Amino acid sequence: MRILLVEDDLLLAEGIATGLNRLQYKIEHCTSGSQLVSALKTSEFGAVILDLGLLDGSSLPLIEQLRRNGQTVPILVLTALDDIDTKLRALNAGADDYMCKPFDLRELEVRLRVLARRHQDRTDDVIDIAGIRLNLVNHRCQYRSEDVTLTNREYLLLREFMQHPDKIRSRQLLEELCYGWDGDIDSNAIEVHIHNLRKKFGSQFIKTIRGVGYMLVSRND
Amino acid sequence: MTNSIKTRIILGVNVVIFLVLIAASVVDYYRSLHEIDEVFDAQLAQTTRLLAKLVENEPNLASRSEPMLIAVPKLEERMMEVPSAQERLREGHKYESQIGFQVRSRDGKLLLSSSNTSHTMLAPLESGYFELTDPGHQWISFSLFDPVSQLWLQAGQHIDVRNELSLYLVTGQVGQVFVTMLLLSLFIYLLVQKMFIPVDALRQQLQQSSATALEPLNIALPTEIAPVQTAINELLDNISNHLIQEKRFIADASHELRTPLAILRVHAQNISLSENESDRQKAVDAIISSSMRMSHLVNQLMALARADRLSTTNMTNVSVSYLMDLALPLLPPPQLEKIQWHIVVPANMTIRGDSSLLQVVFRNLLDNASKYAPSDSIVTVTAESDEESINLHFCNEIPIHSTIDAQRLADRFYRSPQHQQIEGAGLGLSIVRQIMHVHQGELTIKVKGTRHVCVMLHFPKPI
Repeated sequence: MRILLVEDDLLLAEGIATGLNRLQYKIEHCTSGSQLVSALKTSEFGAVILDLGLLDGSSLPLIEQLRRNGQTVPILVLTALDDIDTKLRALNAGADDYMCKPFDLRELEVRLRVLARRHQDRTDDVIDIAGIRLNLVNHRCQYRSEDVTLTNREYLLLREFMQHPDKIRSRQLLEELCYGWDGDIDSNAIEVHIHNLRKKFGSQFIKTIRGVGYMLVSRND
Repeated sequence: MTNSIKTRIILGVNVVIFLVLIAASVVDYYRSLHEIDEVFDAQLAQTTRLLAKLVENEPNLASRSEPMLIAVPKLEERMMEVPSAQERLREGHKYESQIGFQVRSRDGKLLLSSSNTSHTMLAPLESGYFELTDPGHQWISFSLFDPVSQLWLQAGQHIDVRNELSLYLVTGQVGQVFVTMLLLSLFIYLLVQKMFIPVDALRQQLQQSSATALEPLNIALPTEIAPVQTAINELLDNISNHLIQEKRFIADASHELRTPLAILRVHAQNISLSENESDRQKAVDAIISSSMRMSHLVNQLMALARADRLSTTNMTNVSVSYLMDLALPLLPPPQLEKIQWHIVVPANMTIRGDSSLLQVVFRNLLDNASKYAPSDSIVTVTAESDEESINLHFCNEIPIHSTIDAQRLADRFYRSPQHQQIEGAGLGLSIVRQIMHVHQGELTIKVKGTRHVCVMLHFPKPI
């Protein structure tokens, strides 16, 4: 899952990014509200981790503005403000979750997963589609009851497809998911990973939508 | 003695009134006794004169072998159970047996006597008033010699009559004092209770006050207590401000400490999960950097807390250039070297204050100026004085595209968005402002043009 981390403290952002990267999340980092708005306009994210006290002001009006503009991305507020009034204001403004600093990385990861689950109308963290069973907690993947080994990027792509079955995932989205904004990427890198996934789960499993991207087909009719 | 003013007033007023009443009663008692004595004495004299007139035309009196006795009824026993209002009987009065008269010849022979004194010598054969005692009774009598009839005329009265009257007077006075005291005490008690209603209201409202609800008192009080309410309200206001300040300080401190704590925790977790040396080293560096930031923050917080509690200081006249010489070398060498210092301070200029606190002021301002100024820029420190104050200016350049919010610069924990990456806690100017406050001085901040910011200190001129 691709996460947008909006945090003006670089040391903290670096620590969160390192920790979540290790847990198979792709973290994009920005430091201001204006960067957040731009990022959401151009890229798709599974969730936003948002600090409340940003350099260009409080994030509360920003959350309200995003929700007014129809932005549905799950927002987890991560802040040093622990008073109940701020919590209520943030949640009422449209935030989906609220965590206070200091926090445990494991809890942050679980909350992100729960947010994604809720956003995708799922009840658990095991997704079972077209004979593929993917456990989002321990990253175990099985195809027709056989364990399948995945590389990091294959896992990221497979999870993205399985979390959004029958929906087109753009090439740009998949590239950013695998390599990030600053990633050095070959022109056919995504094709290589898709090819490898097809080899493991069958050629009809991921359809190519020419000129747009790829789509996981949940039923082979 | 109780500490209650109310009880003291009630007791004090009662005791004073009681003593005054007793003193007045004693004086009245003796004056009444004196008047009674006078009336009774006059009555005795008048009785003898009446007797003289009556016996003047009785030539046979002197020749009588036995004295003529005038019967006096004995009414005492019958009167024992009779209330005083019914003491006037048809037969006479019980006191008749207490009063007697006698007529004696020139040589003392008893010629006429009231029956109750037939065996009593009322007075010697001398003119005037006498007090005599016969067995069981003491008499006060008056004796008069009538030269016309050549007879002694004497009238006497049991002293018991006068004593009884005195007792009656005393009892009357005591009763009067008792009733008066009772009524006065009740009146004084009610009056004092009424007078203390506002004080009780003040007490009740104060009792209802708590650290979380320090509402100012607003009770209609008498002129004498109104200043107490004003003083209490000022105190409550001070406490309230202090509590707000404390609360804000704790909230700010906790807020500012949470982020470095989060950094420590996240990077510590990363170390425990890291699989390569490079990641571990990065996390260790982050932890060291964050712990240094925390250490600086805690030091600044402690300094601010101390500055908040300063009230009395060791005030002396301190040379401005001396303070400058002390503070400048305390800056980190890279900061000291990156700046072109332009310091113009008159050698003999002094300010009045606590030397150690003023060093903190100078160090913080020089540190800020050099920290936020671009490399090779000029930091200017100048000092001037006018009739009322000594003014020190600490001016530095700010980087291009930087903006300064002069209004917020001295707010606690405020850090300009462009300077977030420069180490600092945002407390330096707050500490300076607090120390200036202790010195009855003032801190102002002025942005000059778009590239310069000046922090100005205004000290009262030393006397």
